[in-house]
Amino acid sequence: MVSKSLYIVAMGLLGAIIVHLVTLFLLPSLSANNTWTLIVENTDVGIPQPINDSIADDRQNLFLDPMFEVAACRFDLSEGVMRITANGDALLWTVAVFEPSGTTIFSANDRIANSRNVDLAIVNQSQLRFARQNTPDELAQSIVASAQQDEGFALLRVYAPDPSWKSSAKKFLDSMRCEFLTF
Amino acid sequence: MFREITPILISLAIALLGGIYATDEITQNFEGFGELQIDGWTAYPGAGSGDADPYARARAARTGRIALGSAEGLAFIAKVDTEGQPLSAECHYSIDGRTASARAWTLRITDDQMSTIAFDGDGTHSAHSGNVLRKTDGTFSIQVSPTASAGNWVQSTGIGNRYFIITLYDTSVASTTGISDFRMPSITRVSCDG
Repeated sequence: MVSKSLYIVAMGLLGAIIVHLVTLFLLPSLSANNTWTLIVENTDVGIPQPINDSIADDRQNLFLDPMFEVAACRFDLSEGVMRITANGDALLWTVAVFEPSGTTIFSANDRIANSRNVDLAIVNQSQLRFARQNTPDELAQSIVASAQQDEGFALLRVYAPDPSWKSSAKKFLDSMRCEFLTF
Repeated sequence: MFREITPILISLAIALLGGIYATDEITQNFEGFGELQIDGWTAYPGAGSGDADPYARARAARTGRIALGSAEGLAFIAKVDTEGQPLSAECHYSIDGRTASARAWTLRITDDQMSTIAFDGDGTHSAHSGNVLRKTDGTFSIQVSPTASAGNWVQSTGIGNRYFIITLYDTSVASTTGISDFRMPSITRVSCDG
């Protein structure tokens, strides 16, 4: 009788481990709190959108640094190569490209880009092959980020540590353009 | 009939409840593997990258956190002072030393859910590499306290536990872990009002 109870509990615990692993791996795709859900609800494809804590609900924490101004662009590379540009006066800017899973597939900053201005081209694998063979003039100066999936979003962060930098950071984000290029 | 089904039902109940409870509990409190500890500050360089482990991914999906890319920066979180006591909003702390090398860094105070406390842009609720006064040897001392303090002062408000977050921007810490000696400042409790 005791051994049977132990067996029942042991099978239950074994099952618990399986359930734990299954829910763990499913959580990123099922969670209503994930970043992609938020981006899809708050942005349109190809239109830069300021991102701040006000778009998140109480259960969410975007973990954004309040000393940065942030804008996002959602893209779908089946519509063409996504070219993101911005210019102006920024102390420091960083840019990151995300897959729908929330994983960063590319990141850069103004020092790495060796430019005060943002000029980023996001391409899928077939566009990458094309761009390598005959780089279009529009993309001659761009940094190229290659994506495995067509959908995703890019985030541009501009450092604005005090109010005097806020307006130039906002101007920098206002100049942000996200355009689809087809060749 | 019932004699045969009951044990299966009990096992299933343990499996479902136990498994879901474990996932819920762990993803609420566990940030994932691959943490980087420097002088009491913790960072997760792999978070949000393709290398992130399933626990870090699940945690990020639950909180809705937007990760910093490796070329962007790295956030270091401190939850306790040098004596291991949780940071409190009612206490006066002195943050002394220097950060690992970075082009810029910011310090902010959050609650224990990592939501930034009352940042109103006037600069007194936060500090950054551009507004902190340094000593001749390059180190700094930042006072975090509810009441005004001489030198670099960051006001803390409210009650409850607090986390201090220093985010390094454009830093090589994430990519060269363990090679050079990275330092982060110490957090010493000076006094407690509450």
